Amino acid sequence: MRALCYEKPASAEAIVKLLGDGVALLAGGTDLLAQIRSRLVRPALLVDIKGAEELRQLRRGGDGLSIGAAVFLNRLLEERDTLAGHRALTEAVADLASYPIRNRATLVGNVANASPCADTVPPLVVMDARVELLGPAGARQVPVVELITGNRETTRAADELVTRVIVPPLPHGGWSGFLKHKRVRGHDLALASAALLRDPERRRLRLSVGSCSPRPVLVELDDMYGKPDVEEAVRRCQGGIQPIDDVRASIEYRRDMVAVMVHRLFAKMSRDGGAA
Amino acid sequence: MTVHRYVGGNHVRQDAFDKVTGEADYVHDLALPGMLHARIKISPHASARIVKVDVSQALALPGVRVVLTGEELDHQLGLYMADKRILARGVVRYQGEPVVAVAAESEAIAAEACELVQVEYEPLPAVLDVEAALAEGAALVHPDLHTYSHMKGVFFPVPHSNIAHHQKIRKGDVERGFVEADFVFENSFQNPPVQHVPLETHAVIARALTRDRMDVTTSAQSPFTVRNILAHTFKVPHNNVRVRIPHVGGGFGGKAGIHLEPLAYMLSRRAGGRPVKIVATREEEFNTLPSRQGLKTRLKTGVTREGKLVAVKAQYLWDAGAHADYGVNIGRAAATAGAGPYSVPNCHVDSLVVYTNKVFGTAFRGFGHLEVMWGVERNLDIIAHQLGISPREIRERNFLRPGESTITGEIFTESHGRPDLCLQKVAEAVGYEPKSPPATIPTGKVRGRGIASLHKAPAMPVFTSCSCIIKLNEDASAQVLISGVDYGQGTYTALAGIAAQELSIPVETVQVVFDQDTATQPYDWQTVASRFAFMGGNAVIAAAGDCLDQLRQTAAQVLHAPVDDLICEDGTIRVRQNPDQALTYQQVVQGYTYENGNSIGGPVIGRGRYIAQGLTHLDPQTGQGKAAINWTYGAHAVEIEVDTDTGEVEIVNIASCFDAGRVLHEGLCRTQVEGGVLQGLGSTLTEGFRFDELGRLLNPSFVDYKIPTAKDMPRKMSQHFVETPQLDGPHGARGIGEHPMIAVPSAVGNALFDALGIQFHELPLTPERVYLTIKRARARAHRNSER
Amino acid sequence: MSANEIKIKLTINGAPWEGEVPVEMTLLRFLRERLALSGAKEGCGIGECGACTILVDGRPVNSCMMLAVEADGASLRTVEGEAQGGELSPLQRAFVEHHAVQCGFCTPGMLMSAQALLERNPSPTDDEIIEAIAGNLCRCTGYAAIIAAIRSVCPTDHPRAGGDA
Repeated sequence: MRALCYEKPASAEAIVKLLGDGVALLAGGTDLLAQIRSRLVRPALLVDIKGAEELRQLRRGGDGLSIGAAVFLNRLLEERDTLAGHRALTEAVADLASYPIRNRATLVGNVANASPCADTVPPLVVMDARVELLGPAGARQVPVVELITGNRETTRAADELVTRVIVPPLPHGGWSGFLKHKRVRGHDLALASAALLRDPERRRLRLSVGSCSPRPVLVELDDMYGKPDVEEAVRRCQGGIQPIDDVRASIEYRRDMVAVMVHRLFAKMSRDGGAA
Repeated sequence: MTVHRYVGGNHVRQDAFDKVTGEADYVHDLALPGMLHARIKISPHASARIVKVDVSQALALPGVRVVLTGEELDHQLGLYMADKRILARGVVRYQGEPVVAVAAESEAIAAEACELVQVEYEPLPAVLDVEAALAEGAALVHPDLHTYSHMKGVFFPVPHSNIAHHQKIRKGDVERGFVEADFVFENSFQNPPVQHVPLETHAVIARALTRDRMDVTTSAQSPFTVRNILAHTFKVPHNNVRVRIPHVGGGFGGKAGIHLEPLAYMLSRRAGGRPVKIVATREEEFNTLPSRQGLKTRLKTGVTREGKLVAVKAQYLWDAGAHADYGVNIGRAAATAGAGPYSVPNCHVDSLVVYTNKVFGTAFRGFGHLEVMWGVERNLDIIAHQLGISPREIRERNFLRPGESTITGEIFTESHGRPDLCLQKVAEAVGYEPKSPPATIPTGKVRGRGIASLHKAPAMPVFTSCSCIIKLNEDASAQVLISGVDYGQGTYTALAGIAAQELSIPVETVQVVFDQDTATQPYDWQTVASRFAFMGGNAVIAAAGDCLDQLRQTAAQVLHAPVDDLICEDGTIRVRQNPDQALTYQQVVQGYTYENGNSIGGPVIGRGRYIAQGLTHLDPQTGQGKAAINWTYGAHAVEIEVDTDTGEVEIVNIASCFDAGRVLHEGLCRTQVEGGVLQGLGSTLTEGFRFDELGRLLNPSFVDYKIPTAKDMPRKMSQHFVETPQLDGPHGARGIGEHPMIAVPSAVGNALFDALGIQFHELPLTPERVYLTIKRARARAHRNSER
Repeated sequence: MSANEIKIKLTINGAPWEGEVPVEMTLLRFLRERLALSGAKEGCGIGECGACTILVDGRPVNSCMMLAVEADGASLRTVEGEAQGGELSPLQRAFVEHHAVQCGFCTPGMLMSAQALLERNPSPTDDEIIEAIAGNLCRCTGYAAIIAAIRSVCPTDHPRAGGDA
């Protein structure tokens, strides 16, 4: 029985040098440790990213909101001013798992793990967020909607590290919202989720549906920006998702709840006067 | 002179201090020198022949000490039917059944070794529900059923079938009743298997000693049952078996019997006597350890147009899973309660406990009554609606009244209890008013109110007993030794109050010894059935009385007074008519010494015992007899809000009331109800096992088996009690441990009808089920309106 | 250079500790097996039940979802450190007085979640209390007595928005 090894490099570059086969990246550990316990993954080396100062950064800059790979979720709720306005994202984070889990789980981890149920993905997708990947050849950026290619599959190469998520600056007077449908009021994976964004600067209306497809679903409604047609929005969502029957929900229920959430998000946006 | 009155009070739990500091030890926390850790390998198939087991790679792993297979274990055991092997032998009967066990120097090594064991299976036809199991030519879960030893005269397995037991109740003449009735209704209902989910999973440490002795420390509810079954299984005298129980992290019936103990013992024996610890993972707790049985109910009810019950024909098909365990007794007990707390002149119950190839059922808070009351109470509401009578009225019309008989022929008396008062109190608390359900299915968020009544008697053998020893210490404090287990329900705290009050000493000086040990504590049957406070209380009163007799005997000599003239109060014994003539307990409690040195008396050891009085066997053909030492009646009233767009149900207000006879302890009784109601809401709204088409459990973890969290609490909950004294109960008390859970689903199902005009027949009432039922009902209504 | 046992230094309930721990050892197992602090319990092993909740640098975490090596340099608090000089903390005392303890298996984790709440928010609303303990499963109490106990430790004039639980 091989004993597991562990490294905690002091920089993102040092982390990248260690990546390869049999290496697992350890951020919050709330997905990885459960996967190791159930023998879904059997890494030989754990590389702890929390030693790299730059990965712990949470800041708002010219290019928008930068959320480092080691930023755990409760920080996003606590540092309200930094997150101000990105409501869909804070709403998704607020109902993700439970409070103690959010003291460890990271936003980047939620994205990079690429579970179809990831709660942060729909908000990030409608907000046009990108991830920054660092590899031996340097850094590159990929939109979140393109990063995730399937159930726990991403375009991240084995020798690349996701260093941060970048959320573009907020449009003036923009609005976003997120809804998550669960089996219980307590903590649960989403049966279905949805995020809506209205961007008055670029006249964009975007929806994203979660837990209903192996890949992120982005539904563009820009053509109805001035006059939202909710039924049409629902139709386009239904056309874009591939829900499955599983122990959590049936296809029929998921589809119907997507429709309900889309209606409710539009109603919420309207009640809020269309602005954040 | 302090008056020591604790019954009905609110003193703190003794055990709470150890629990808030982390000092309390559970089996999970214990270790012995040289201890090995065991893990098990479970069956992936619901039904299969074990073709080949190759343990060679596992044995070769460094740190592995024992690898045990079913072939090496010839034992067959069970509480009522000996239908279970310690490890699967020849065949596996459910996905999750233990097949191989490994004991190693660490848990990680044991787990790795289990992975290295190779088992070859030949899948066999499986029966995955009761209808399939009862069908002509069905595959038999236990083809050798006719060879199994079982409790004869009480349980009746049907050879060459999947029927582990068939309980019959026959009272009056149902067919004539249906003819005489104004209306006859037929309805069906369904409950899934549900798990107890104790926070502490099953855990045991066993040590095989020399000369066929064993020392077993286990997280269990019934030390003497564990001892008894171990002694019988391994054919050793009872004195050779020592069972110890530290703190237990929840039981709810799942730890009532015997589970991992025999396996741990055999592993220890094979390991040359090294202690072996097995701790079930949470997945094993769901998939391998037992659950509640599922149930399919068919009720045929004849009523007068005023809603008076004339005849009830009930069929209960219990999905027992692969082993009978407590299942046969549940089938029996629930049948005796199977028509609800009502007067039913003609009643016919067939309660069949049916084997299937799934994880097996065991005792679970309510012992079949939650499942039965789901059907009975929903049925009554459906009938009330069809007759145009209110749910409250139909119940009040039919509640048992003094002089009337239950379906097992027991005569209801004034002191049985007041189901009507319980219902009245909860109806008032929730503002329940009779109203017609909506004419059309409403949209948006809708509110509704529902009520449900319940009853349960302790389901136990006719000879059930309890005993107690009270030792008085030198400082006149007391130690109470009793073998019911306090696994959170708080009975020890109630018993401490009773003991302190009877002995007339401060309750802080009474220690009910927490750690169980069959070597030192006196016998108790099992901590189940809501009979511990009742029987334990009586045993404690008797033991305390015995202590006082001994104190008075010695004091009488010293004080030169007749024993009957002596009063024991506030730690002193004094002559009633000459109170100056007195001794303290301390002066007498270890014997009394005169000035010249002569000593009389001796240590005070009070003995008390209580055995169920007046129970009779039930007639095997008619089920008539006296099975119940007492009945606890109760009711819930609930207001819900249902979001018809999503199917989500929120509990706005739930009021619960029980006729406790006497509320022995305010805080304990109230919190028992709070906890039981939440657990009942779990069964109502979210919980249930899901299996795939091959009989594999799909939700063996908290990810997909959801129990209520603090966010799932009702907005408002209230607890109420009626006190109709139980004549033979300690201070008039009867049990309330299980009852808070029993009719919660029924009340919510009834409230949903009130809100929506839609009847629900199946649990759990998940958002998906509620939503799709509404959707289908709307579609039907639309089609009907278009005709 | 990779190693299988890693040297770590931390403080536990105010006392320093250093030593070597296997990489795969969870923080929960480390507390229970190496430090003999068995208050935190393993209820599920996957971070769903909260029975293993302890405080790491003042924050409640599920210690089954953390490796001991990740606690290097951290300040840990477990239930065993709450009572001071034999005196129960106000919260512990409140749990006892309000019958907020039944089987007790969830209690250490529940106490740490609640204590951390009160330290970051001395006057929580009922909704905030519920949010703080929603990750701690209890099968026995139905939560009402636990919430009453936590509330009783707050100043009496605190805001109570969010309905009556």
